[in-house]
Amino acid sequence: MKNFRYINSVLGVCLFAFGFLIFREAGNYVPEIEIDGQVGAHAFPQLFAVALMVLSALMALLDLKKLTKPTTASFAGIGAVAVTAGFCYAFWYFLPEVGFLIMAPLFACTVTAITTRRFRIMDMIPVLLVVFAVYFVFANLLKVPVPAGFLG
Amino acid sequence: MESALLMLEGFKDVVTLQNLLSVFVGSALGISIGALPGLNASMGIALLLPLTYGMSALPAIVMLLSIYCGAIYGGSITAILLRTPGTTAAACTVFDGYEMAQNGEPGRALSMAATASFIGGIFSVIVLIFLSPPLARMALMFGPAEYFALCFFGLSIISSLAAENMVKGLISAVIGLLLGTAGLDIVTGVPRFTFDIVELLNGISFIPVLIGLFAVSQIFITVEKEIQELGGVKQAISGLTISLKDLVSVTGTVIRSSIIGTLVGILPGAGATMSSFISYNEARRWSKTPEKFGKGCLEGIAAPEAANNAATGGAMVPLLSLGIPGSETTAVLVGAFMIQGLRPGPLLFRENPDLVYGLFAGMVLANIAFFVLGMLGARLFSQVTKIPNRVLVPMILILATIGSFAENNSLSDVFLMFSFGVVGYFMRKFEFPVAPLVLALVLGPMAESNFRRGLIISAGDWTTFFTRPISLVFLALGFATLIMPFIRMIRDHRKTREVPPSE
Amino acid sequence: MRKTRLAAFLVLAFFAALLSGTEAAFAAYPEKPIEWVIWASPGGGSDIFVRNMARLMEPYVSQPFVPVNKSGGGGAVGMAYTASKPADGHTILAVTTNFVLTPALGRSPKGPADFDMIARVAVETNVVAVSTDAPYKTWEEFVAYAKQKGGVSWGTFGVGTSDHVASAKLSKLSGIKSRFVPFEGGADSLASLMGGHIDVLTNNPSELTEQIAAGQVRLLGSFSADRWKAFPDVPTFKELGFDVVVPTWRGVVAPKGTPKEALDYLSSAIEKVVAQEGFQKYLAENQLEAAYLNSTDFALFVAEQDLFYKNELKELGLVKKKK
Repeated sequence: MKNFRYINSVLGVCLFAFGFLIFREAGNYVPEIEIDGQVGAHAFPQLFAVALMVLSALMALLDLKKLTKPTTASFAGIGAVAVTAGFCYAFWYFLPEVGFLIMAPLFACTVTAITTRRFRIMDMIPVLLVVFAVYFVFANLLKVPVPAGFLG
Repeated sequence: MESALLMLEGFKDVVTLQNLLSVFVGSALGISIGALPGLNASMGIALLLPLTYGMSALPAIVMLLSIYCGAIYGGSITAILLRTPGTTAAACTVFDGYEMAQNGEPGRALSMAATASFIGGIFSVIVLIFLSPPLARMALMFGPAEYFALCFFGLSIISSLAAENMVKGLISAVIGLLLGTAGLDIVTGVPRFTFDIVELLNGISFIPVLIGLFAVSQIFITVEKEIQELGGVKQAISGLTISLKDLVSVTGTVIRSSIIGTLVGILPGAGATMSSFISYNEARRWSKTPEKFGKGCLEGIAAPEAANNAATGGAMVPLLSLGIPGSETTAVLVGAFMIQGLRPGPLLFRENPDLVYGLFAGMVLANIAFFVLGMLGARLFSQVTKIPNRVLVPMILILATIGSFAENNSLSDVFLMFSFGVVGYFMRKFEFPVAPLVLALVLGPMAESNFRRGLIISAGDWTTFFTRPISLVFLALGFATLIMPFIRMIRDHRKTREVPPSE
Repeated sequence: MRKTRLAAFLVLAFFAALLSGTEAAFAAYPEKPIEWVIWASPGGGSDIFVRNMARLMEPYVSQPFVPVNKSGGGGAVGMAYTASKPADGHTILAVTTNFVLTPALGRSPKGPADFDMIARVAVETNVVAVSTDAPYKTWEEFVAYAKQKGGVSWGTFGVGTSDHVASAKLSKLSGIKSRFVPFEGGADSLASLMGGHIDVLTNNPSELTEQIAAGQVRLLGSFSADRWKAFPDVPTFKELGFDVVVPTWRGVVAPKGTPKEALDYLSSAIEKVVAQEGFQKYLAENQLEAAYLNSTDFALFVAEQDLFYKNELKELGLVKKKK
């Protein structure tokens, strides 16, 4: 799959807009008290936002004038990445209610199934061992309260 | 050589079965804590503190110091093997360590990390024993203006980290700086970019961002390759350990990094992470083959690892000679001292000199212990790279989840981690380097708060940064570092023009 | 087929959990481990405080405590988390003066109104410290120096903290022009004071004990109502003629609606611990003074403190008057 030639220009324009929004937002950061010789809470964010705007404009211009190489990255596998990321967020979303001990093995099996497009129970044994070992170390030895869900 | 004699006494105190046991147990615990993403040295000590309640003073403190030294080293293990820095101080080790492991030399990378950490750690303890008082006085010469200048110097490295694609590298850095401004503004108390989300008031947590950008983005790339069956065969493991020749080749780098690490470690608030970045850059500046950095070169592992472990001894300097904890970890150590009925500080030297020298000896042993464990373990840990991706991918994702949860017990950090995984994936796809963002996120907030503090102290006089000698030196060094890649670029450009095109 | 069975199982499990929840209300309190929320990260002052107390309280409470760190936003994160938990006495929160300050500054969606008080444990103080290398040795000398110099730089821990409120009031009353330098932690502020980068620092004395003993730092005065036991030679500012008494304290609270029995149960356990010798020693080492108040008295105290700090913040212009 070939990429759109000017994808970096598009990116540059997007980042420029993002910088502009940040610049606007940072303008609101007016403190309630004045301190002598102070540059204010808005100064640094605004400075960085301006830098972002300048740099992204530069990136877009260089790309439009074909002074930089186009991105050659292939996005053929992006579907699998999107699905994996989706499962990551689903994992995060259900974790507090369902609990780590149920959700983590479920999540691990699903991700393995996606990456290999088949499911072998033998692969899951080391994964499950690690999941339970990690749970044990964090929950019992280090007393980090891992979300227990309805099992807890 | 009064200190040398006291030191011998200290060793005699420390070499008991109980102490040696607590050193080794502490080191093993420390290495595990450091290697687990999300748990850093200070949390490790705080969480394992109850283990020492029943112990007497010396073994208890020696054990905690072993955890400290071990954890700082341990961070490199997962950084090298899984692209998941176990601690923030190991962020820099990822660049060359992971590459080297992928090239089939995880054992070489791991043993380099252990050796460099060991040398850096021992160097810093020696400095701690013999040069503490003058160096502590030096640390007091650093006020907010000097800290700003130092941060500026640290940030100037961005331009060389970004050298391959300057515009994109700088954009990445600026985004890191912007992320660093989120949260409650320390100077005025105004919430910035928090959008009324309580969890954002403290700013963006560093660990989840780090894990997301490095580890999770790598997972996405692996998944992508696997699905297209491009994963291929894993590199066969060669290079089980470093050779003497390797060691000789990095001697200069290790010594330089040890010095930088110790000095930066002494400054309250600067710490291991900053010293590892500065050392990495200095190693590249002095290297004969700077183009190899980031592609798996030994110096790129030796420099940050020597520096971050050298910072352990450095951080103890202000703690023991001024009573000021120079880092988060040493602040936790103060609590541990107090449980034993002791207060670290100048009086400890006067009232309890044998304990202080016992502690020094214990630190030497702690460095030896993690070195031995690390070298023995290198071979075993290397096997991790043999694990097939279909097993490794879910394991890393689970570890990453729990690791980013652990720091604040917060699920929003888990969300942040996955999101930065997505961001990191696209950054790598569009060839934005990740390193400048990470560095900017670490140093940006420090630079800003110290700049503004410096201005309040000088009552708004901007010249304060240029009239104070230390500040001026670091600012000048920073400017030089900043423009160096540009000069090199122009020079290379001219050269290529002057050479007539070949036929 | 398999799917429906799984769904049925999940539903059953859900109801089982629900049932066990309702049963809990009738069982004797406490019937499961008590989650003790700390709004600082492991190793911080509040963290050590809670972990110590939890250990000492264990003999008096039939269930163990589980300390949980929810740090951030000057306590806002911990308050939001605790307030979201069921008010059954199985979640409690350790608080400091920030319990009234952070909400008063409009930085926390939850405040004292969302909690029931269990007990006040101890009071603390803030002190004004200078380097022993400085030319001034007493508060009067310092004021003279400040007036002659036209202003001083004064280290505090951010805007709207108890130490900032106290220092700002004091410098206003003594007619000094002060530039307040906000620091993030005890270490860098202390290093700046000892290095002569700032003129004066307001801090909790527990972070200064070692330097005072070593003769590197001198105390000019304390914001407590009476002289602090550990430093009987240091005058209070009230004695020096300035009406600045700014108390700071530590206590324990639970989500609003927690049963009275649970509050009293924990309160009396805390009372027993506070009287213990081991705890007294810990308090002394950390420059805290035992000051137990039971549930009812602590609630009155918090209400009074809330009013006090809101007024002070308004005076300083940190909270807009209209609020």
